[in-house]
Amino acid sequence: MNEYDLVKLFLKYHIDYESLKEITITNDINNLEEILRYLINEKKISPKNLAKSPSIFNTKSITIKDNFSFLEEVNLKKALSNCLHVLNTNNDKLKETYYYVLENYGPSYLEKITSILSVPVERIKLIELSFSDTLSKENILSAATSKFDIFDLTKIINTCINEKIKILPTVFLRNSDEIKALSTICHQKKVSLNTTMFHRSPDEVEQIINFCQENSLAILGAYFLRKPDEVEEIINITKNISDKPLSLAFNRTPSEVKDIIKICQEEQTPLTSNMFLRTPDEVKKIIKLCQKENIPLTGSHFQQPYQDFEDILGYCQENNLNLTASMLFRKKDEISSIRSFCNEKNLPIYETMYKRTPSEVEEIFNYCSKNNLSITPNLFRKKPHETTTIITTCKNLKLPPSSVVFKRTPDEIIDITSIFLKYFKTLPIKNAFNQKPKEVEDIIKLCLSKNIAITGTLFQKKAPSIKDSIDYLEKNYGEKYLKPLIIIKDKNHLAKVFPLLDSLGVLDIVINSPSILTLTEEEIKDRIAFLDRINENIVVGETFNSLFGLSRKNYLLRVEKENNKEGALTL
Amino acid sequence: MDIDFSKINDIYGKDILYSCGENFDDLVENITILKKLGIENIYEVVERYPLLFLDDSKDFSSKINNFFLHLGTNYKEILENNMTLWEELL
Repeated sequence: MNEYDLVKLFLKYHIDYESLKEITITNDINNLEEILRYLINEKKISPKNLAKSPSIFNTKSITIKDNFSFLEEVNLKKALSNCLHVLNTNNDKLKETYYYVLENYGPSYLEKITSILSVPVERIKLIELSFSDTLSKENILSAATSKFDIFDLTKIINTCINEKIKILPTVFLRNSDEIKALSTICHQKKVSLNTTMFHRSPDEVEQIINFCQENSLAILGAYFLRKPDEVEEIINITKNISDKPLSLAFNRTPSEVKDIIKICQEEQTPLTSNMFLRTPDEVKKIIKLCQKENIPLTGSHFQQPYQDFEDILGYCQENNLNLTASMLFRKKDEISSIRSFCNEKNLPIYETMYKRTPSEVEEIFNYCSKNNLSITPNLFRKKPHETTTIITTCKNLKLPPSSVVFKRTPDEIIDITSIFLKYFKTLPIKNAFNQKPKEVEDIIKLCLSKNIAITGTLFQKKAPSIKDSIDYLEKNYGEKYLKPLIIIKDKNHLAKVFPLLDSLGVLDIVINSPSILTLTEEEIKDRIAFLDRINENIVVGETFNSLFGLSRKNYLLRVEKENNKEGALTL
Repeated sequence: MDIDFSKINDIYGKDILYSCGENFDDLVENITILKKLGIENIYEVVERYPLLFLDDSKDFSSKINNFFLHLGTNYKEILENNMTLWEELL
C-alpha cells in the first residue's frame, strides 16, 4: 500500500500515523477505510484507543463488524474500549469463548477481563485443568490472556509460591526469571513487593526504588506505572503543588501532568487528584461544562471520560434527577439499565448500586432472591462473587446475618471475629464491621485500658478521634466522664461545651444526661439565657431542664409563648 | 433534604460525617421510614443523633417500631417535647 495514501487516510480519521510506523499494514486501503469509518464515525470509538490496538488495521472489516455487533448485543461495548484487539478474533471463536466464560465464570468476569474473548476456549480449559487447584477464577482468566504457555505458567506459579508472592493477575505480565529478580530486588532494598511492579522490568523497578530511597520518598505503587525517568519528572513537577504525593498523576505522561496544572491555573480551579484520570483536553472540557451548567466542580466529575460525563449530566437533566457522585462510576446506559431493573423489580434505587454494573446488580439480586436474603444497600458494595463468599464466610463463622458485614472482605470478617473471640469470647457486635480489623482492635484496647463500656456506636468512629476526646476529658475533667455517649462527640465540641457547663457548676449532670451534648454550643447558650430570663434552673432534680430536650420548633413556640405573656403583662 | 451536615461535623467530627456519606442510602431510607411514621422534625433528629441513621433500614425499622410501641400512640408529641429519648436507641 502506498505510504502517502496511508498517511492521508489516518490523518482524515485523526490517528497519529507516526505512532504506527512500526506496524506493517497489509490490509487493502478500502477495507482499512471501512474499518476506520465504521469504528470511529459510526461506533464513536476514540482514534487514540484505536491506535493502541493496531492489529485490527489488518483485519477484514466484516470480522470487525460482526464481532462489534455481537458485543453490543451482549452489552460489552463499553468494556471493549481498552481491548479493541478482541475484534480481530474469529467471530465463531469469540462467541464460543463468550458463552463459555459467561456460563462458567459469570458476566462480571467478562466485563473485567474482556481480553479473554480473544482466547480460544481450549486454552482456558487447559489452564483450568492444570491450575484450578492453585489459581482463583480471576487468575485463571488472566493467565489465559497472558503470552505464556503452560510450561511458562507453571514456572511463574512455582516461583510465586517459592518467593511467597501472592498470585494476582499482574504476575502474568512477567516471566518466572523476572519475578524472581523482582523479589530479590525488593528483599535487598527492604521494600515490600507491590503488584504494580510487574508492569516494569526488574531493572526499571530497581531504578525507581533507588530514586525514591535516595530522595527519602515513600514508594508508591503508582510509580511503577511509568518509566523511571518519567517518575522522576512527575515527582519534580508535582512537588510544589501538593504536600502529599499525587498517585493518580502517574496515570499521565509528564507533559500531560504539566498541561493539567496549567489548565487549573488558567481556569482558576483548584487541582484535584482525580483530574489525572483524564487527558488535559478532557479536563478542560469538564471544567467548562461544569461552569456552563453552574455545577460546583468536584473530583468525582473526572471519574468518567468527558463524553460520558456529558451524557450522564444530560440524562439527569432529562429525568429530573440530581447528579450524584456514585452515578459517575457508571455510563449513562448503565445508569438507565439499573434504574429500569429496579423499577421492574419494584426495588428502591440505592446509590451503592451504581458501584456495580447492571449485570452485577442483577446477579446480586438473583442470588439474594434465591437465598431468601433481604436486599440492602451494603450488598452492592462488593462484586457478586465477593458477596457470595461473604455470605458463606458468615455462615461458617455462625455470624448472624447483617448488612454491615458487606463493608468488609471475607478475610477481614474472619479477623474481626477472632479479635472479639480473643478479647470477649463472644461473636462480634454488628457495628464492629464498620471498621477494619486493626481499627477494631485499637478501639477495643483503648476502651479496655480506660474501663469504658464497649458499645456499637463507638465503631462508627476511628480510634484516634476517640482517643483525642478521651485524652481531653481525662486531662481536664477526670475519668468519670469517659462514657460512650460522651467520648463519641468531637473533642473540639467537648472543649467548647464542657467549660461552659463547668462554669455553671452543672458539669456532673452530663454523666447521666449526656443528651445536652447533641446541641451546639450556641444552642445551649441560647437556651441557658432563656431559662435565666424565665427564672428556671438549668438542672431539675438529677437531669438537665426539659427545655434542653425540646425540638427546635417546640423551643421556639415556648419562647414565643413567653414573649406573648411578657407582652401582655407590659400592656 | 435539608440536613445541616456542618452541625454533625461540629458535634461528632469528621469520622461520623464520612460515615453519613458512606451510608447515605441507609440514611435516606431511614429518614423515609420516620417520615412515613409522621415524625416532623426528622432533619433535626438526624443532626442530633446521626448514629441512629447509619443502621441498615431493616434493623432501624424494627428498633423504631418497638420504641414507638413502648412510647404509645402519642409518640410524636412525646418525642418533640423530649428529644433526649432518641438517645435510648443508641
